[in-house]
Amino acid sequence: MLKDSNGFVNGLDPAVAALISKGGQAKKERGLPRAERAKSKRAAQKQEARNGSRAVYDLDKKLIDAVKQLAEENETTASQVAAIALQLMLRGIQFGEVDLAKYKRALPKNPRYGYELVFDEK
Amino acid sequence: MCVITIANQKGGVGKTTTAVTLAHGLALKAGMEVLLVDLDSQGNVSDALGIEKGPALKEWLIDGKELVSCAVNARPRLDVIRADKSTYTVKQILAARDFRENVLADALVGYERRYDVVVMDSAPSVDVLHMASLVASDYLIAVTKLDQFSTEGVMESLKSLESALRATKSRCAPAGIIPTFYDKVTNESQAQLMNLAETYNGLVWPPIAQDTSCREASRLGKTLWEMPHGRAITGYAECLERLIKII
Repeated sequence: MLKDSNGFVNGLDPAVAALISKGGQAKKERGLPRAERAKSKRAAQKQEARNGSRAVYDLDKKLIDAVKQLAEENETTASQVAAIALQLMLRGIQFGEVDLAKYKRALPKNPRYGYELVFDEK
Repeated sequence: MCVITIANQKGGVGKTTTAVTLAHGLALKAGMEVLLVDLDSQGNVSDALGIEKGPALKEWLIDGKELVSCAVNARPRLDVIRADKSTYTVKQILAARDFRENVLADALVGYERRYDVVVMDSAPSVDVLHMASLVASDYLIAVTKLDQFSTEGVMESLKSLESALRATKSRCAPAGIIPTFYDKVTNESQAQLMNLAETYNGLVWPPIAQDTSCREASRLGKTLWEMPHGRAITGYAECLERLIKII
């Protein structure tokens, strides 16, 4: 940790900075009408998602439940389990142990995406 | 061995809760051997841990008993030097002694391998024990409630540290300021947090949310780590993480 000559740490603690920023936002919102407040809240949520530390994926309910259960069994958060699972898969791809091509199914009529990835449990 | 003083010259800011929670956290979460020293004659460290108050501080510093025979084991890897009203006598006797500021530093000599961390919970006043704890300490953690009088107490604590550094061989450095009783929906909490951050910059650690489980824990003689997960423990876990990095 960097300290100046008085022993003070340089730079604001990120957790404190985040709280101050959120508090300022909440103060602004308190003066707004209800509809505006909801809009502002949605915008803040989107912004938070865009910050890079939070992602939203559409997943099968079974998969969500399985991650949640695994998290509970290991006394950790679902995000931690998901992070490890993703890291293992990315590493598998990097070392040639996982081949996404096996799971690809063409989506000829989709205007945006060429394939869907289907995991066959069999 | 790392020695830490928890201080603020204002009372009721959460010093004892912070000292007990961090000390038990270091023992429980980091597996460190911890000694918690109660320097306050109210003896609330004992209450917080659900043990009897006692004159251990006097026995250790005045009667010359060995630290190990005065300390009681309150939790696994957590020993406590308890205090009670006899602490007044300690202060009176020490006031008449030469080199009184060194009393705690001297008393800890020889126990460097026994304990990884010593946490001192100081009283809300600048007295001989407070100065002695600053002389013995490597780090000062100031605890402040997010109100005007308490934050002024932080300034006073840092001033007393400066005095200790000038007048003694103390090598104590400010480690952090822990804001307590944080209520995110009140403007005053927010304003005081901003004021602290502007004044002390990176020295401000994540605030501890106002949480009734702190009062329940005191009543039950349990630490916050032993209570159902409340809002306060989230902040303490973050502060503990920072403390472990420092020591």
